[in-house]
Amino acid sequence: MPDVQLLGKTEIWLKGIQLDNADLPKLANAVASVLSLPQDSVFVTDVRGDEVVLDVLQPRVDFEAIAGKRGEVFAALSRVPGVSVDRDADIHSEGVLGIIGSTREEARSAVSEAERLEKGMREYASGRVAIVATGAELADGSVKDTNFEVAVEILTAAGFEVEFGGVVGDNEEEIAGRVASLASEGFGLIITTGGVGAEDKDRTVEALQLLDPDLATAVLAHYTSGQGRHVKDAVRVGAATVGWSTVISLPGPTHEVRLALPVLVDKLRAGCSQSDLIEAIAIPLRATLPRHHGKG
Amino acid sequence: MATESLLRNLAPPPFKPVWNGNRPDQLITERAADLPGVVALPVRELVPSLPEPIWSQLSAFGPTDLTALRNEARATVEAMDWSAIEPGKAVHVLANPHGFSYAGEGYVTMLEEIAAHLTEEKRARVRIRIAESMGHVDNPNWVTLYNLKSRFEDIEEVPQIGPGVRIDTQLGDMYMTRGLFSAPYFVHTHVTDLREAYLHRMVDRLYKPFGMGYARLETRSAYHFGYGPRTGQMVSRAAFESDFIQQRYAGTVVLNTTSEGVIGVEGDNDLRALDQRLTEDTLRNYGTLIRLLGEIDEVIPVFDGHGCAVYTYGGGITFSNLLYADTDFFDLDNLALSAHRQSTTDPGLYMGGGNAIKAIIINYMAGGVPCHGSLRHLKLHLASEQAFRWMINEPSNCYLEDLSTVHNSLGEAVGAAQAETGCEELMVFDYTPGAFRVTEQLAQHLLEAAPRVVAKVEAELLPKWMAQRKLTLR
Repeated sequence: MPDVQLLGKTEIWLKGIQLDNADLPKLANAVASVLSLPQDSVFVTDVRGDEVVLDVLQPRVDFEAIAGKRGEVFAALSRVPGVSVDRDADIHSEGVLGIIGSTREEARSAVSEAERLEKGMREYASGRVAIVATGAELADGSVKDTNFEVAVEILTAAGFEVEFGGVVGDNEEEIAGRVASLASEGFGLIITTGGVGAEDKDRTVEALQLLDPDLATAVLAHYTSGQGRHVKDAVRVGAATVGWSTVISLPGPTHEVRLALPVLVDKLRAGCSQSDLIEAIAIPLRATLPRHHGKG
Repeated sequence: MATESLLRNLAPPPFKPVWNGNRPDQLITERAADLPGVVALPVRELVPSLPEPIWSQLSAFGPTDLTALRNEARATVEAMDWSAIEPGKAVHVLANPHGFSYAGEGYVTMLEEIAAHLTEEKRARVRIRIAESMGHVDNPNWVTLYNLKSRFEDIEEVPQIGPGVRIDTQLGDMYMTRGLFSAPYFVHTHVTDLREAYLHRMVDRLYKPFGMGYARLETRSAYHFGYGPRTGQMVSRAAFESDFIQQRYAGTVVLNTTSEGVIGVEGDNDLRALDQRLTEDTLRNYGTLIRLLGEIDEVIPVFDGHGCAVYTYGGGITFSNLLYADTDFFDLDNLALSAHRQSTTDPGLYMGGGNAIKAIIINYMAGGVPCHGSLRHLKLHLASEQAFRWMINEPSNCYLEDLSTVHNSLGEAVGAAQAETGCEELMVFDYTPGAFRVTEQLAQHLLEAAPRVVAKVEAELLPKWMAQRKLTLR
């Protein structure tokens, strides 16, 4: 269901509510329950005469869960000890929460329209891919990116609209910032290349972790950290979820990108989980690494 | 330019009657410009490289004669390709309230030149259609103020809540305002003054009206809600690229502005090309000032003009640019602004917190746009009971009552706000273009910071902003 922003308009005004030694947390909980909101996210902030003002302490709500719930809100309130609801009681909110007070029919229509819009936007985003090249050697122009051409070749043939997401150096925050920016611009699939190794300059997976602490990773090769240039114990590729977008971090070498992309396309079409997706991508990539580096 | 005389003598624009019958022009006799210690600091003193205006509302900042602007508008329109328009057919020239509000006669002159050329060259039946998104509430009546009915054959305001027309877009069906597009062709107009930059962030900025000003309410809501990512510009692009719009689109003409006035009239049949051409000017000319506003540690804004909160102008830019100046919202990669790391706020719309703003003084503030969400963390000091009544009796603003303290004069409101916050610095938003009206100490602070900020924008930020938009500096 559409999950929509409240844009800071988080107050709900209930008019025609009579209180007699009422427990305000219970009143707030009753409203939260009807609106399928966590109980600790709805509070009574003001009581004046027959008006009760509630505040919703979260930035987004499930649109369908609140739409047309006026009657249910008042029914729930009337069951709270010390609360009585006048016949002409009313409910008012600015912005999205105003849908609580709509009629069932209006709510159904609004939900249906919101679903349609969301579906259209998701479909649009799911067909758009951005390729981000990472690495100081690319950012300073000493090395040319050759991955984008390959990505265009493979992903366009698979039906995606592919755009270059630019070059970013080895800075975690910059990589994360670029990925977040592209996700915000409606790229449903974002692929980074480079920066997945075990050296100190390899920060792409760590960057994605800033955006998705639960990202899935797959090890391509193990190393002993502290030996040679290796400060990390493994080369990893990752799959993160950022908003609506799937973000995949691939190695930099173009022949590895060429190996990974067809697998990525197949697994996306199959609707794999992020962990299955990244593990499937890792299989052909592991085979390319020199045997003496890999331990598993 | 004699700075000393500007510091003393720069008067704010007078108040005008507004739609709902309120008369701020009669009520407000004490202007913030006259407060002790408040000076007008020309923005050119801060950013000397600003292009010279071809027209300004104030002679202190450029010619007030419209000849140069008219000539440039004519040349721009003549240079465009209007061959798509079948002779004798109706053409809607789409106007917007921001154009009248910001550029007044300059904007009307541009509309006149578009209309004249299409009438002469294409025998077109030109109709001016104003996308009236602000409603007839507290804003001045542009049609009467600029005598538009006698200056154009056919002019009409078209509200966003009127009949719509369904269009098929890449995102699915959207709804445009029918009255704007009920002719075989239309011309899109725009003014580059930087409003709502925290929303569009100068990404496809000229497309924005197709998801906002020209769209009916439900599609505007799609822009606002942000389903998942920052979907606003996706909505605007999809609407513009729809067959319905493309079959009718004839071209775009834009007033290119700085905070001093109009620096040029630009036009193109290719909206993307025009958008890209104007982006550098806007990022440089306004971006530098916004980064300067980010240097302010503490300030109390004074609203003293037409406009509602974020849409109130001072020094030729809107209050929103100060409110969100904490963080660089032109930096598209700014992780601090990332929707996806802000679990407690609005994904896609996270902005700075306006930490420098300590309170707000309201000599007069128009209604018409809900602003409770933007101001709810601040205390409001109203300079009169009447201004307070007007504010809270406007349906969008009634909940500002809880934030408000009413005083008997502007001076009393200023004193109370300063005492309460311990902040002495004021910044006045009274629609004076070309100069920040601030307390002397704040003016000095801005003057000291300006060379460093200008250098940083030129050497570091502007190249980054442009590269992020895949654009090359000229």
